[in-house]
Amino acid sequence: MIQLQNLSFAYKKKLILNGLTLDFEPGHVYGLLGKNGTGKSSLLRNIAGLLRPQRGSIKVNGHTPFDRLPLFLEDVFMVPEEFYLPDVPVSNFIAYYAPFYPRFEVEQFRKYISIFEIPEDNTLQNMSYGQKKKVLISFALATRARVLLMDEPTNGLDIISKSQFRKIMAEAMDDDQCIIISTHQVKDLEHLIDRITIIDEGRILFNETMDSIARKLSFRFAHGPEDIATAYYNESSFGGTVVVTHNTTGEESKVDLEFLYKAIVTNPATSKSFHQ
Amino acid sequence: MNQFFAQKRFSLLVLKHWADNKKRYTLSLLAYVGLLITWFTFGLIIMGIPEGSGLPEEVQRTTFFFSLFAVGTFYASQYFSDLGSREKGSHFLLVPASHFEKLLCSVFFTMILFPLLLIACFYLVDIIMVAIANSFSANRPNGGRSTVTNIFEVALINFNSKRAIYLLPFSLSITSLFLLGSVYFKKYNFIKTIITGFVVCLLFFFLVYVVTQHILPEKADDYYFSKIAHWFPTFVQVLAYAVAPLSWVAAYYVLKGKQV
Repeated sequence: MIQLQNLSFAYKKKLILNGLTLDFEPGHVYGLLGKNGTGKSSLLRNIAGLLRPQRGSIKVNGHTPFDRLPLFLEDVFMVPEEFYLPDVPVSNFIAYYAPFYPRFEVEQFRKYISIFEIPEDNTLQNMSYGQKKKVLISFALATRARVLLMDEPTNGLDIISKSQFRKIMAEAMDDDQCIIISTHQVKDLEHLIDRITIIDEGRILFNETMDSIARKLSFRFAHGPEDIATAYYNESSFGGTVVVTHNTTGEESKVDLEFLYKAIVTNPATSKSFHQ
Repeated sequence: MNQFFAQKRFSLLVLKHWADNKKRYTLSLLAYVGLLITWFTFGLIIMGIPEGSGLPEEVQRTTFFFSLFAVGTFYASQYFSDLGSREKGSHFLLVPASHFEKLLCSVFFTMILFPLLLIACFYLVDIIMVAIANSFSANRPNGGRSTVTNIFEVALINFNSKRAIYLLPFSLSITSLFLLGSVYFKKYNFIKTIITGFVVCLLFFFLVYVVTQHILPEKADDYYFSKIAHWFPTFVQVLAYAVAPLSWVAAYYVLKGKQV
């Protein structure tokens, strides 16, 4: 569905993405993790066709994104972290924007905004940032675009809205859709994401499915000092020391994305263990 | 569906642009009508009625063309200014329509709808104000009658009775340059376009100077120029009007390569 081949991108002379080669397949929700400024947003903007790669290529459903052909644009929807919505009531927004998307489902949109508790007669500019974001997320899902790109979708959402977001996302996902979510708030999306991609210094540091992570790694409290010493990562917490360690028992533990991220970024042996 | 141009998508784009901006556009037109009424009333009170000159055609023409150039160029320079902002630029570029349709929509609003509405508003006020001026001058023994001006026959350059560069279509060329500036520059589109235009004009005058002083023969008198007189007006006329389509083509390619 999305193929990146040796993709490099730079802002002026600052290299942001450095030779990424990666495929994103339909039927998955990808979690894109990485430090600030490592190129997560730039990658999404390259895939959406807003930026042009310096080297390499991107193919999305067979299209080159930067051509920005209407057929490509109606099948790819991006929810940026900072976004703009026109000063019109929600009903007008649907009336004038939805017809651009041939598979748009108005009833689904109404359902999503009612779950988010957004009144349809409100003008978008009079809404809070969080409310606007909920409208945009609802719109994005209702387009039935096969590629959904979300940059920090839970930023600005309150606690209740975050759980509403998870509920809506779980309900809206289709097997022919590929969803890429770039986020720092991994806890919000733990149950949605089924594949983790970590970018660091413009390169792919880690790219595995949640099943494979659960099989290979164990997330638990340490049994003793030796357990801590052999762990890929350890961190003291209230109940004791949490470790991310090699799964030797074959018993799958619940993947903690925050600890996984820290283990991958701080200890290269963690990602190497997946290729042994 | 055609990926370069589709009537349906273009119509949707025009409707969307209108829906997004109708409040602003309606208020701007009302403000223009209000300003015209105020300006003409002021003119009549200060000079037209006391001096019996009514509403001279020069005043009407100057008023119209000043507003056409000033407002038209400013409007055109703002059309693509959203591309200077990451949020608004992303919103604009990700709407599922082709670059050609987006550019055509800008041409429709800035070069067709805007002048038509401006002309309509102008004549709406002008006809009434001329009638008012004439009703006052009718009561004066030496009061001359004002006539409603015909803005379509105002020429920038009159080569002869058959050939001229008319100001109204020429305004589209100037507006097109500002539209190109709007998509090319990230910020301060209006000011940067004016500065660029100024620099280009200076270079052009310098070029003319070099050609006349150093390239043409020393004895380039009236007879010499009369030899080129048969094609020179056509050349200038084509140049004056060709700026518009050339600017659109340039704007299309700049828009196509735009990154936000």
